[in-house]
Amino acid sequence: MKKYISILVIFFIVIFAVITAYLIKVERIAVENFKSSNIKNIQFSSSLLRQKIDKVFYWLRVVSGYPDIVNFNDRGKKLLKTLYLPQGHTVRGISRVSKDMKLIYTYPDESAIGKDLSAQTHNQYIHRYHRPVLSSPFKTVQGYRAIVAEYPIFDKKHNYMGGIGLLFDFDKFVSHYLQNIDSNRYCKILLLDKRGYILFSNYLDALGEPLEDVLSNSEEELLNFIAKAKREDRYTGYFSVSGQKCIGSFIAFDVSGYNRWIIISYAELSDIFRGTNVNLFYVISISILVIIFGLISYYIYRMILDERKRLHEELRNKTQSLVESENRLRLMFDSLDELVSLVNHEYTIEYANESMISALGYDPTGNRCFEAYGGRKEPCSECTMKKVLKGKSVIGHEIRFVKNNRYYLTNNYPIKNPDGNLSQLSIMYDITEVKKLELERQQIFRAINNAEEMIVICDKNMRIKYLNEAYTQITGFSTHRIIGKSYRAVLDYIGRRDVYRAIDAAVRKRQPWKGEITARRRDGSEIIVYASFSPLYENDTLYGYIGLVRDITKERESEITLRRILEKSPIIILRLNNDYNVTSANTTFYKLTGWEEEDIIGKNIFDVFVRKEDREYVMAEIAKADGEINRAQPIIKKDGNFIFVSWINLPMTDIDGKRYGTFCIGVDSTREKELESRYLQAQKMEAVGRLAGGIAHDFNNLLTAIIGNVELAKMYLEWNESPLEPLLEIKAAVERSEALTRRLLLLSRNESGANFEIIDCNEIISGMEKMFRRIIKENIKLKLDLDSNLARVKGIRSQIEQIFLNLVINASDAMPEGGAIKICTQNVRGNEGKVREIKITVEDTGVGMDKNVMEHIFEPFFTTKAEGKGTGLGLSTVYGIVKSHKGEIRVSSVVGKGTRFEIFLPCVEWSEKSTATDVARSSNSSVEHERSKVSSALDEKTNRKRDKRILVVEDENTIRKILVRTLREYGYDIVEAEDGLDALKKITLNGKVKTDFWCDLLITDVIMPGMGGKELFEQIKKYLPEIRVIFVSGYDDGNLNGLLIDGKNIKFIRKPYRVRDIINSIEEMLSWSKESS
Amino acid sequence: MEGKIIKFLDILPVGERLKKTGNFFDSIASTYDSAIIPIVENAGCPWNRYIEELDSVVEEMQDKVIVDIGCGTSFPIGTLLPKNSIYLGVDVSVSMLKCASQLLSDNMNASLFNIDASRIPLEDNSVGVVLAIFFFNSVEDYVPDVREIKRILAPQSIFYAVFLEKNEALDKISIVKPIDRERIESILSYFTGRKYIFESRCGNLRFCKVRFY
Repeated sequence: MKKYISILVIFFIVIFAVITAYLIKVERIAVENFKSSNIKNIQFSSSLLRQKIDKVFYWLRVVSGYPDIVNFNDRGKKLLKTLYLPQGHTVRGISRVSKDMKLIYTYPDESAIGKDLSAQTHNQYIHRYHRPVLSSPFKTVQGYRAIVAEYPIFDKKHNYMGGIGLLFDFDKFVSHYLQNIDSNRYCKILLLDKRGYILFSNYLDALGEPLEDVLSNSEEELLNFIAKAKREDRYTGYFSVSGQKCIGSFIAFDVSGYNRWIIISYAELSDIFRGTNVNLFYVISISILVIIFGLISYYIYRMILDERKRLHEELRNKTQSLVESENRLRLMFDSLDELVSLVNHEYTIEYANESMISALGYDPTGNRCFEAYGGRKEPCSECTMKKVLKGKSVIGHEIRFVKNNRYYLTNNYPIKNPDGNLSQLSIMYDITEVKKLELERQQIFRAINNAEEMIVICDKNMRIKYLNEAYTQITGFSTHRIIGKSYRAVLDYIGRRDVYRAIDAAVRKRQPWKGEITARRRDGSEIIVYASFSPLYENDTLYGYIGLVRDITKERESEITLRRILEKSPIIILRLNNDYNVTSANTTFYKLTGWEEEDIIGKNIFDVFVRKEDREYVMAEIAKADGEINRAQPIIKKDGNFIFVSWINLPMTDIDGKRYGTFCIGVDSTREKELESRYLQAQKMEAVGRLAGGIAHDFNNLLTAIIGNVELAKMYLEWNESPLEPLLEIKAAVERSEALTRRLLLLSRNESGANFEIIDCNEIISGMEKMFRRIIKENIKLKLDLDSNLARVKGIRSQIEQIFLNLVINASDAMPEGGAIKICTQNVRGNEGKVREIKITVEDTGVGMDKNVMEHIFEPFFTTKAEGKGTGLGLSTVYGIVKSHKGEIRVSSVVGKGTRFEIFLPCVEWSEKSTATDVARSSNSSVEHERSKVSSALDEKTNRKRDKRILVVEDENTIRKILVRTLREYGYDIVEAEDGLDALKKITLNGKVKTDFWCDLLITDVIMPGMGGKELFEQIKKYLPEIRVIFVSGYDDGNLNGLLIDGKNIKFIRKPYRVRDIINSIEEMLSWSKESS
Repeated sequence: MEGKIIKFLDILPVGERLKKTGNFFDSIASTYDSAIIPIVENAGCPWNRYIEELDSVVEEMQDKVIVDIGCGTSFPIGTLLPKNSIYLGVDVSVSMLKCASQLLSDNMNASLFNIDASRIPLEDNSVGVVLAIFFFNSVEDYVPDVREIKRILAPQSIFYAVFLEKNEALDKISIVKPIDRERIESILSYFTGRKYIFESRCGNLRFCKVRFY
């Protein structure tokens, strides 16, 4: 008890000391705060007061300068009115005082005007010193205290003219500025003038009296304090007033040089302290309450401690016994091989024995069971916890530990906890090995049961123990009737009792039996199965048989069908070993070749039916065995003839991928080969057909030349002149006719047996030029760019011609809207500088080809032309010819731009070429010689009818010359032109007809390169509208398209024509011309 | 003069464009009178000169209907009014009009109206003098007001306006916003043609008297 009392006393002393210290501190802070705030408040208020007074005097100074105020008049009065109003609510009046101190004017109270103010001290002061002055407060007639701020007025010569003054309500004026000092409501404020008279006070009712008269003796310290104001402008200090200790501050300042005001503010320390609102009674009361509360709390705390100590002792004893008991149990569980765990209702493992810890590799206590065992994040779907928590045991539940991947058979028992909740006691037995065996057994069983083959297991007495589902699928019979019966039941059902004996014999010998059985299904249909029975032994003791039955019906049927198909199909099948020996051949081969089995099986193919010259190619193709169709290859028949076979070769490999032979599939393409040959011929004929019109034209021209020259020769003879020249022309025309005929025959003939010869490609192209011009349409221009030093090549002339013909036809067909075909030749030199080969380029400006078309153009029968327009053999023929000439062909094309074919042909040795060139040159020189002789003969003749001029336009040189010469002989003035454009050139100059040109008649060929006869006539008509025309053509007049052949102005003569015919026509038309003129 | 004033309404709804102006002058009403003297003096015009200028037009107000648009507190014109004229003060600020009513409390011929100067409820040609002292320094769109002034002014009448003209030296933050010379000329251009304009200057203040004939 003593102890408690001493604690209480100490506690009380401490509390008392703290409170006392606190109070002292509070008092000190309050005094300091008052001290600083008080002086600030006084300073602020005095500052505002002084600013206001300064402002007033400033304003009065401004106004005192106004002339109307100086020389005071009516306008001065109005001005004073306007000056009074803005001075604020403390101003009570404005006045003008004369220099003899009389009130001249006052506003708003005008009743005092004329009053003598000389008795007023401040008026005396201003009158004497002429300085602004702020009066001391005085009581007005109206009863309020007022002060006057008065400012002296001077005229321009600085003569004193009186003053202007503002009258303020002093109390309102001062209190307005001093009221802010007493923000604490306990300050005592005094405003004193320099004499110590009280101007304002918030606690003394003695305004206007000296302060020392008002204060008692006990307030002497205050007077001493204020006395400092005469010496100092500001001061703060302590003093006593009526025994009460006070603290105060003052500020003294001059107003208008006439007066000095002192603002004093002080407060008793007790008031300051009271102002802090700290009440000692409350402090002590609260302290006592705190102490009482502390004592009670301490008592209760002691009681709780004692009870706790007692309970702790009791608990320790019980815990001791529980720990011992638990240790015994723990030892017991830890000694078990089974895994033991205790899991509470929140799935938390509360206990795990050593076996469990060992199985998991760590102590799972505190973990969730599903996390520790199953590695899951939530309870397992098959969890037994709910059932166990209902108080039921779960025996034989199986779980798997993820950690060690082992299976456990678990018995779960509900265990009641001390808190009444149930936990789950689990005892787990490792069944992993059993489980594995079970799984394996199930897998085997599932595999057997799902096997496609029928599997029968019998005991040693051949009674069926097991039959899988394949039995039902294969036979259609159900298994349940057979299980437990003899294996013979199976055979009974499938209708093959006859096999009993064979199988029984094997069984008796304990040997396996295998065989193919044709049986019947439940629906009566036949099946073919392959069956095998084998004895089963364990430790050399027979314990049963296993039978495997596989349905091979489809395989057998497929084999038979395939065999039949292969035997009957037109496809040849050969099997070769790696030494090219035939290992098998199908019937088709024998049938097509006439060979028999003994002739070829085991024999080398090169010894029997492959030509020696094809050996390399065939060996290469067999070695390649790429599954692609090879070109048709001749196979020697037994009778010595050939058949052509296209082969597909496939490698035969064993399981290791090692090739052991070749599987050759062949198609008899003898007929296609023949067709291809026929197509080539047909294509030539097609070209011949297209040439027919043109050739007829050429022949007509030649015939015209011959006839014309014959007639010319006849005329020469009549004139007793030499007919040599026309005869030479006739000879040349006949030679060209012969050449033309020869080429035509060559083109239409099969050239398979033709011989190679030295060829000048330039010569071939030049020779075919006219033919090309006939083949291609009129709107297509043909341009040749031939290298004059082009090397010769070795080839078959007709085939080379075929190349150009096909390419030009194709180019022409590719330009339905017209365009140009260009044929170029040039030498290609090798690295050593020698001419190695020649390049022939045929290019057009046609529609071009896309990539897809280009890939197939050389394939036989591929065509982009409309049906019936092309055979599809043109370019494949070209390809074949170029290849057979050991050349190369390249194609490039741009859609919409055109196509270019480049053919490279190997050239012959220079010696061969030079020989050929010399022959060609000598041939040309003899012709030129003869031609020169003809021209000299022609020069001897003169014309007779020079007054008629005829323009002769003919592209065929010979015809034109004959015609021109003949007409000149008949006396006509002739102008000749090679074609339409040449004719226009001779007529016109700079788009106008030449001034000296005139013409009566135009004789023109219809079809000419560049510009035809019809177009020429239409052009000339623009310049010479009266001109008449005779059209000449080997074709019919269909090409004149709408021109009216009236016989007067326009006439048509078909080639070949006789000189007489054309002379008659000319004379007839010119006579019409005369008549019309 | 009687019968020309058709109807006085104490308050006509002030348009939206002038509500902002009204609110501004409401807030400064109590200090306006004490502020106006420094404004005038800062503009370079001594107060007595300013009063002198106003007094010159006051002499012509005898026996006339005077409409003071934007009258505000009516200071200082309210202290100068002749006794025998009818003074109608018009302003959008209620607080300013309250101050004016104190100043004019003993003037029986003065009436004040819280209305928009562009909608003065007077007949055409019914007013002898229109005063606009610093009025145009406070409005943005003066056109409606000028049209209304022209409408109510009678023949032989006077329009008297005081402007504070813009000058670099002037304090831009002021109750009275200085306006530039072009704007003043533009306002006065509405009155050219059938009248004489008398104009005097004092500092940046322009005193314009338009006499109609």
